[in-house]
Amino acid sequence: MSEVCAQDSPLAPPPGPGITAPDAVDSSSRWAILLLFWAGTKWLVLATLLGLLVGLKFHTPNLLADAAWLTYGRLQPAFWNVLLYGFAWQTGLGAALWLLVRLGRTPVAYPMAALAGLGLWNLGLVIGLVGILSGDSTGHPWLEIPGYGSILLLVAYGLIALSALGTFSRRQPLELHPSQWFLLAALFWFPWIYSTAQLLLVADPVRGVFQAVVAWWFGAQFLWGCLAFVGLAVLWYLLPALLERPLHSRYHALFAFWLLVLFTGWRGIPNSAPVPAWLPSVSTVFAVLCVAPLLAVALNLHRTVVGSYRKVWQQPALALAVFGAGAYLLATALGILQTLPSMSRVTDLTLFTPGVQGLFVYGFLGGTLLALGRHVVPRWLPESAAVWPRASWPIWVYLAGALLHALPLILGGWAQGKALNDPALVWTDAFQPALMALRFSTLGDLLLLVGVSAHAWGFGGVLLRFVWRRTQPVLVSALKPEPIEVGS
Amino acid sequence: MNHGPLVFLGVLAALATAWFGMIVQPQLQLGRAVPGTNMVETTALYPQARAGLAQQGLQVYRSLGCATCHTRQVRQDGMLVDVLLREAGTNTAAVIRAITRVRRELPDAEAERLLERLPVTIQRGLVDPEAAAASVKELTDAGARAQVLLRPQGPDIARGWGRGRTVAADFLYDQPALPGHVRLGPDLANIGARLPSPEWHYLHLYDPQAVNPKSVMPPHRFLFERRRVGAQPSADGIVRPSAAIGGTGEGMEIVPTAEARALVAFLLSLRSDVPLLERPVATGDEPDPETTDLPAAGDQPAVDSPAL
Repeated sequence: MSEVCAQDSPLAPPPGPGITAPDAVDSSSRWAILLLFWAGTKWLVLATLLGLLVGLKFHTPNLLADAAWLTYGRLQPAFWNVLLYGFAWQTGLGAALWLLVRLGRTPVAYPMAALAGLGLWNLGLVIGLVGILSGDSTGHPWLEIPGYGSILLLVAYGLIALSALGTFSRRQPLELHPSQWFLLAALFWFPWIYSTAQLLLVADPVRGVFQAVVAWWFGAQFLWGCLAFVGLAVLWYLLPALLERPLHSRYHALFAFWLLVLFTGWRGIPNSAPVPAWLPSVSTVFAVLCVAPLLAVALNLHRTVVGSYRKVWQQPALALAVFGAGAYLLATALGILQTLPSMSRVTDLTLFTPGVQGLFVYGFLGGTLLALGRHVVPRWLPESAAVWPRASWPIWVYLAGALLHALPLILGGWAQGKALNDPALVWTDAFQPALMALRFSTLGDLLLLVGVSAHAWGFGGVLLRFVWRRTQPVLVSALKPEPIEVGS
Repeated sequence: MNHGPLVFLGVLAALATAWFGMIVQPQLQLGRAVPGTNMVETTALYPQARAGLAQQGLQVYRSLGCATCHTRQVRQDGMLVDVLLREAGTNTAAVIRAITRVRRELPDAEAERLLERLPVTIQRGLVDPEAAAASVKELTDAGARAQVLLRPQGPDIARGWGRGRTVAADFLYDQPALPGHVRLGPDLANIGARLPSPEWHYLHLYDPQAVNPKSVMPPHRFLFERRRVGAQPSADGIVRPSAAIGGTGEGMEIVPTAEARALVAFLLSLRSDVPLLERPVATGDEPDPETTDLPAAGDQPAVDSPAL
């Protein structure tokens, strides 16, 4: 195994003649990927800001209550959609492009398509955000962006995916790195589920409760399929790269890959759903089957890092990645446990679910994608190398924020479920544990906002400096009056 | 080796299979549901489309994201069965013998006393509906009129959020169907039956904390118009000017907008207490709790269930 791994790993010997050198590859692909990362970072700042506003409403319900567009029922979906589509999936696509370039040792294919897709995706998001806040939400969880926004997202995704798949097919080494397997699956998974959901919920809505079935299915596929696969692809590459050692086992990764592909598609329908009982039962069975790939992933990640856990204190990017890996394992385990009838009787319809999802998105995806950003950007923007390593505190603030956001919700959700199952408690009393959890979680939201803003400030700073250095000579020469040569 | 095509085809096959299982198959089962196929009471059709104003209200419910905090999913853990004796008939002695056969520990004298306070619960909290049906047959054979009483169980039902579980049919005419996903407020599946007063809803929407100081629901003042009272106070100037809601000032009144009226109409249309085969609940033909030895709550009255 290590033989194959070494061949594909970033430690592989420098490419021979005829293969594009990594530096040339990196520089030609800079813009599309950098801008995807930068756009994702901006949306992450907005998402944490919205998340904080949403959380503050549980401290004072009267906060910003006089305008319909700022009411909780609109701000909360706006927050979650911005976080998912603006940050997680967009940065994930940037990460996918970068990994495909890096592992394929080829420049980005059709970079203009990627850039156009990037622009269109962000336009669609802005339109979708305005749509949600102005009351045009579809109402379906995770799919609130109205049809006129989601059609743009779908087209934009097509353009970015065209570039990504083109890059994949032009790869130099034919042999695939585990990251490439996971990315390929994620890139196919998203258009499939997103177009299914749009078709059955927005374009030509199906009848009745089947709409909710489609929305539940979509949410689970997006989370445990697309987003998880991109995050895992980052981990398979990044942990070995940061630790300068090969991935423990390529075969563990592939074993997990096939089982996850086989099982995940059936997940999503909660036990509490008012649908024929076979649907949640099937979802539960396949969720429980996902224990096997989870163990394989856990073993592989642990064996790759073991012996180097102390290095996280010196290497902020490694800290982010290891935290992300831990968050994936914990969130996935809780997500599986939650489908067991004895658990779901307590946790369904409580804050437990948003807590697990928060751990997944802020902890796992935030951790791995920000780690990749810190790994990639300094390679391209030498200006940042001097700035970023000194400023590692945003990372620790971010990680503390992610924990403080998610853990109170998970624990509070459990307490909420217990209280809800006690009919002697009236609603307002049964809700107290959940309210406490929500208020604690706001502290996490605040830390997340601080950490993310500082990160974005650093990123934006090096980006600006880079642009300035490139454009300064041009600008200066343009502004300087041409010396008039007399007498020629 | 080039595994690209293998990965692609493998993922395609796995996703396609799951897609057929989780999307196409439920569409065949649920997507073609029609009203009236599962009726317990054959005189009424269920579900029925909501009235026009309530349909508009569903759009307000969607637009304001009410389902972000409120579910419409009453959960049910199981069902207990009672045997209710309604009339003793003419052959009292035979009925008393039947009662003592059904409840062997009961002396004849006790059984005779039971007949004095009809309708009376003969057996309570049976788990096995077959046993209850056998008891009913025993009593009926003796010339009495007896029936089985179904009592859906579970914390949601005990809290009064519904009489039985929410089922797929409850959403048949909803476009979009919004069962909700997290409970940051009470369940609304049966809110129209639980709180039928529009005035209550208007005041609660305008200022939830005036109704319940512990509520964390954000006020929806933007659904109301504050205006000067005309020649006469408006007929549905529902939110009464009062100190409790911050006072509205002299000569002012607060009137719900069209959106608020639609939303409240929708909330009042939310009732999921119609008995169906998949949700056998009370029909309203309930015994008087005073005359039975049912628990005082008497929440779960009788139903003549054809399922048994």
